[in-house]
Amino acid sequence: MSYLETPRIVFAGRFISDVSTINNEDANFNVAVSPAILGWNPRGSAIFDFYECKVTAAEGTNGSSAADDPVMGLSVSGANDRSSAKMVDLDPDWQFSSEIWGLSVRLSDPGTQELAFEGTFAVSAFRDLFIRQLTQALAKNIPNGQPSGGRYISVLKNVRWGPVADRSPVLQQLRQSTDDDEVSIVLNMFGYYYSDADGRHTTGAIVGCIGPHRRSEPQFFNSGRRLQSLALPTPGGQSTLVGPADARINPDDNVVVDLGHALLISDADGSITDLAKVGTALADMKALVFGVLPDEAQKPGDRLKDGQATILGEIDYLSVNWYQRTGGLSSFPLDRISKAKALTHPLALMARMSDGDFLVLNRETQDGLFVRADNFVERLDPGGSAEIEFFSYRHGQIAPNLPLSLSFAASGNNTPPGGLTFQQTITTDQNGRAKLLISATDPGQPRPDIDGQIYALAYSPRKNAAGQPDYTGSGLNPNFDVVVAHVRTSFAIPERPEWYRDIQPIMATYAQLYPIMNRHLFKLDDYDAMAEHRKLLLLAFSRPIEDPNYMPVTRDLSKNKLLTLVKWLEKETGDFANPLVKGDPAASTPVITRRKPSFTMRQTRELGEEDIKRAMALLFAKETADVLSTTSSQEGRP
Amino acid sequence: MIKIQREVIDRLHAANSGRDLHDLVQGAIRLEHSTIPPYLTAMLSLKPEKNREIWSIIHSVVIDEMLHMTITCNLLNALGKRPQIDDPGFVPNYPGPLPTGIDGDLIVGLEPFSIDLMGSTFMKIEEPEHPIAFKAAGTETEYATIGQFYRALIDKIRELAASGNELFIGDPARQVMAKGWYAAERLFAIVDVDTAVNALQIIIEEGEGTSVSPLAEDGELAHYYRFQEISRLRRLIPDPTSENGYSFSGPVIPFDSAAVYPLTKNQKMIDLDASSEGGRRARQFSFVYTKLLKALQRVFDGEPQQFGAALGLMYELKLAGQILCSLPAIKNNSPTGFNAGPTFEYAPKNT
Repeated sequence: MSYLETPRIVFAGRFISDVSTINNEDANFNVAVSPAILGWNPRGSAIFDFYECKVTAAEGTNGSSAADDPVMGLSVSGANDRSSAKMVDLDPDWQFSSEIWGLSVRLSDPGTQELAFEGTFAVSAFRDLFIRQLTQALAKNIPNGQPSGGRYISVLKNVRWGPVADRSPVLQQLRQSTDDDEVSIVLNMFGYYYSDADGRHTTGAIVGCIGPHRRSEPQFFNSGRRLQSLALPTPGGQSTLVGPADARINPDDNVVVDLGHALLISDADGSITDLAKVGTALADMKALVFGVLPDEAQKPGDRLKDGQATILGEIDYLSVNWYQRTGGLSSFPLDRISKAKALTHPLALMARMSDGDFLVLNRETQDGLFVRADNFVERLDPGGSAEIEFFSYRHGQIAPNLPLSLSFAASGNNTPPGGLTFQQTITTDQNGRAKLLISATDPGQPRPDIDGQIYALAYSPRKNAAGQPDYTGSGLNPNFDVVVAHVRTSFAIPERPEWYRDIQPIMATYAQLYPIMNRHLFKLDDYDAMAEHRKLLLLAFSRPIEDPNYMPVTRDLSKNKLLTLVKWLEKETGDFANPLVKGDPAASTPVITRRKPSFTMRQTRELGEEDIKRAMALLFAKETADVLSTTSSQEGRP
Repeated sequence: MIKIQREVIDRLHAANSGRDLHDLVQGAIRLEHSTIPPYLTAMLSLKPEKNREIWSIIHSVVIDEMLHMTITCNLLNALGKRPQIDDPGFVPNYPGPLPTGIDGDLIVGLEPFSIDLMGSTFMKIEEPEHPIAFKAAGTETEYATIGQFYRALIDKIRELAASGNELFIGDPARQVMAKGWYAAERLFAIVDVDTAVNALQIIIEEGEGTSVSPLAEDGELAHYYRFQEISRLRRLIPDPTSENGYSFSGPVIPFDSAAVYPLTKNQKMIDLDASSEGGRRARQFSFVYTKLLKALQRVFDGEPQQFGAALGLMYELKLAGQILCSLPAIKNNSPTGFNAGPTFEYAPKNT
């Protein structure tokens, strides 16, 4: 159960994501050299928050109308009495699953501020990144700069209900139908502004949904059925025409399909693109329909005569404010016959063409099999381990006793290979779940200036000819749908930490990467400034990692380096009257005087384009493109 | 000096119970808080990495004013009354007289840093009573200074307690000590007459100095003299040759007048185009400021452990303000020639 079921709230508005960009470049981690490439937001603070977000639609249980419910128009915001959440990358070599930390989601009356409910957003990473402003990207005319969108699926935990919830039938239904005072949430984000020539610099648009959550279900993706993304040949290579979509047959015999992060948009505000107007392939398209294919053999691009497929209904995706009214979700009632068909055959989006044929667009995964890792981003210290939980489904039903194979994924660095150990095969239990244990050992210092290494693991219930996990027909992207871990370099906590020898080398990196601190607050690489702000630093370095005030904000410091900092700041005794140990300057790693970063518009613009190219290259890497050209889907081999 | 309304002092003198002090102490909380936005605005107008010594001096006063606000909140809680911070009416409208101040007297605004601002406003806010000009409370004077107000409050607390009033009826669990942030000698629980008097004495001294020295009892220079140092761009140091034992003969305080953002005075959100980055970041700034007030409310409503969270917001507010002040103010699609200034407005919704 998730927001794919009712009751459901839809909200829309904007978000700020003030991510810093100097840390996007490996070379910038070398503190002996001034950063050459600053990116589009060098003074980013990592702050993430909602703004101008409000509830735009709601549905009661069983889809009953809620147009008059007090939930309509509620303000959706972050916490109103603590620091903003933070959005951070795992590592410069892994920027494809940025996580949101320390976020609370709060619904309240915009006038009286009365609480409806507030819950803690379980830390999650975006998935299913793809270029949604395709026509603008191809024309190289993207006013906002970033054509891609991503989606976060998570749960709000420890939900507190307020007085508005008592007055709202929809919220009462939500409260009754969900487990453990947790609710499910999706954030579909797009239209992000790189350009500082625009007032929306570092902000983007958001359409989200909130619904019930079941404790037996994954937290970070939708269980059920998965429609593969659909690729289209374009002058720039293969591009996604319709992104991945989730679907589910609900107990009330409705089938719901989630296109909240599947359709192309024509602008940064999320105006949905008419599929008939992208390229020429669908020029004769009359309607977008959802239905069931007659058998497993149908591929994207196949034409079906009327009557061959079971058509469940049309999706009115071009109607006014459809996205903000529906969150991108459409549901269709199933009769006995169509339900029987849908339970065992591939679901699909199809285009009804002018001649009455149905052209297959996105179809369900091969044999309806859908396996995904729930948590998939980990930070590991040598000797540490993590459990990754997988859920598997076949046509939406639990798939037990299914062997999954794992291997290093091409998108990770994975050297030395011994840095991360893992089982090469795991098998789902009777609940369709499997746990993978990954364990870290010291990788040494394979990257000269960056701590540790990035490891990525591919997984699939199928193997290719080489015995590797095969993503064909999986509904997942072989580059991004991996388990990724940052394994930290071993570091011994000194008996008596000293500034020059132990602390300054750590802080110099942060000073270089986050000039907002050095320029606007205090110099992180300066002993006197550190001493002056000792208490604040000690507080920040001692917070739980989920706390929005945790430092370092990027959450990339190894446990022992962090403990060394704390030990130094406390100076063992915790007595602030004792001066911090300075040590011998000769023990310091030489740091040359750095050129001051200059924040020019020119650089910003150029980098915006560079980033797009990089995203395009990764999304449509050669291996991926090869597979796309044969299967017309985005899947491929790792 | 800030001239406290005669009526306030009269009410203080007329108080017959702890309850009669509630509004007056709430007024003191508002007054202590009201100095922070002008000081922060001047501080945030200093360009990054420039004028850091001045920045640090102003910052040190802001930290003290946070302490003074905390002390007055502790006092009100000790008297059994909840401080009201998370309230639109708590936020002063700048420019204007400070809360409890006399209309038409010292008008305080939100302005970028200048040497003149020190003498025209900041030193006046913190100005001690000149010993010679001192007139005892209860005489014919039309006004009283902040120091006189607090001295009168001390007298009244002693008087009420001596006549058998049970004043300190508040829940001691609501006392905020912020251990690790402020020294235990400066911030402690107010539970009786002695602790109340000691706490108020700290506020008086840190603002004005003692009657014989520019230093407060903790050895730090009182606010008035710190601002005077900036106005003279020289450090005040002990000087045996000087009549008062101190002179402005210390090191020069460097000042680069070009390294100050030309902020819009008394910036309001409404005076910035909503679609401009300055407009959006001003709304974010006001929202963070309001979150800070809400966090402080929680701290004084019995969750003293939330003090760290409030400081986290203070830090976020400073960062948000630094970025905001670096942006041009755009109104009606044209730059006004000034930068956007910090908008200390009550904005509970992030719009």
